[in-house]
Amino acid sequence: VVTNVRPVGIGEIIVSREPLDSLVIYGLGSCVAVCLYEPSLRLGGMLHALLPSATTASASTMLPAKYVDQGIPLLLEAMRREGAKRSNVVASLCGGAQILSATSFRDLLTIGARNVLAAEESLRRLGLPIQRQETGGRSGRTVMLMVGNGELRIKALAESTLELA
Amino acid sequence: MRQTTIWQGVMGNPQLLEGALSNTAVKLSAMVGQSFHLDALSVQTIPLGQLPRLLGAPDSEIVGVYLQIAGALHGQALLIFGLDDAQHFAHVLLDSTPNDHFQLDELECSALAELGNLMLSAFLNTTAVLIGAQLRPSPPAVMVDMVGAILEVMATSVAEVSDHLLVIDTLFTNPRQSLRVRFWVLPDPAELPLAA
Repeated sequence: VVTNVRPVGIGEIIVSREPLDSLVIYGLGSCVAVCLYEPSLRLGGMLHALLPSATTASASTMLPAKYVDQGIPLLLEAMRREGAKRSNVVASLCGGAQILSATSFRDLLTIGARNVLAAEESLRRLGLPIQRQETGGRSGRTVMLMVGNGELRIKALAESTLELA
Repeated sequence: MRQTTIWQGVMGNPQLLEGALSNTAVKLSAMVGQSFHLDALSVQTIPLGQLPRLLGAPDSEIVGVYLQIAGALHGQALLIFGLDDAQHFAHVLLDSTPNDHFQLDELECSALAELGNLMLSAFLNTTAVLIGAQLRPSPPAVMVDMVGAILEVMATSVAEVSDHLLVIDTLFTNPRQSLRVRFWVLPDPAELPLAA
């Protein structure tokens, strides 16, 4: 089926109920992709977050969804505006890889793992069950959410597409 | 009145930038043993959301050599190679024979890392002399991964203080061999008056 591919940029949220839309992040590294899906409405949403949480240095931003802890509530709110009931929404979590391996960049080494922890915590606090999770590792991924049926497709570097139905 | 930062002084001086990058081309040519030219130089401000698409398909595989800048100025640098060019550079540097499959071994990664170290050092040395301050590169790290995943490393360091990246983007080419390497220098946005 030909789909309408909609790339989700860093710090961006896209919510769609168009059955032919697919929401996609190409080359996801230490960032996380948080996907929410409401099966009864065939409504899907995706967040592409870069950092776990805001610090005082970053208080001023036009891009609150670059932070995991701010982006996930914003994504859920966008889903609710489209009619989603929280109790029907399921979550998927991808990314959080460690792309750098040199110990001289200590802060950057753990950013992927910290993003995953922040996402797990935020989803738990909002009562959203994680149905599918593909996180960690040492290389990038491409993540695609098919809005029509909620199917999640993940392709890791040099691997074939992994389908998580 | 807002005081001009050192980075602003560097960015606002095209002769300084061109001089530092021309010296980088000279050092690159000497190390590789082939003539490289400073083919394109631009300073770009890129919104975070557009970053993964900046170098073409964000899921295509590239080689990046990552370094950080310390001393009187702070920032990041990245050497960007296509897979074929990375392998070619490594084989020229090691005087070895290319094989059919792309796979960089430890020695080849070390050669590319050293190239990154040399190029950023050349840029920083010229800049340091012209601004009269000390600058030094971090040890380099080589990444072989998707474009998007590598560029997220750069974005992570910047996004704490800005929604944009300021990039000094340079392309060095060797027309005879059709070799090219892209060289990015990213000033720390905390040292520039960039709006969020």
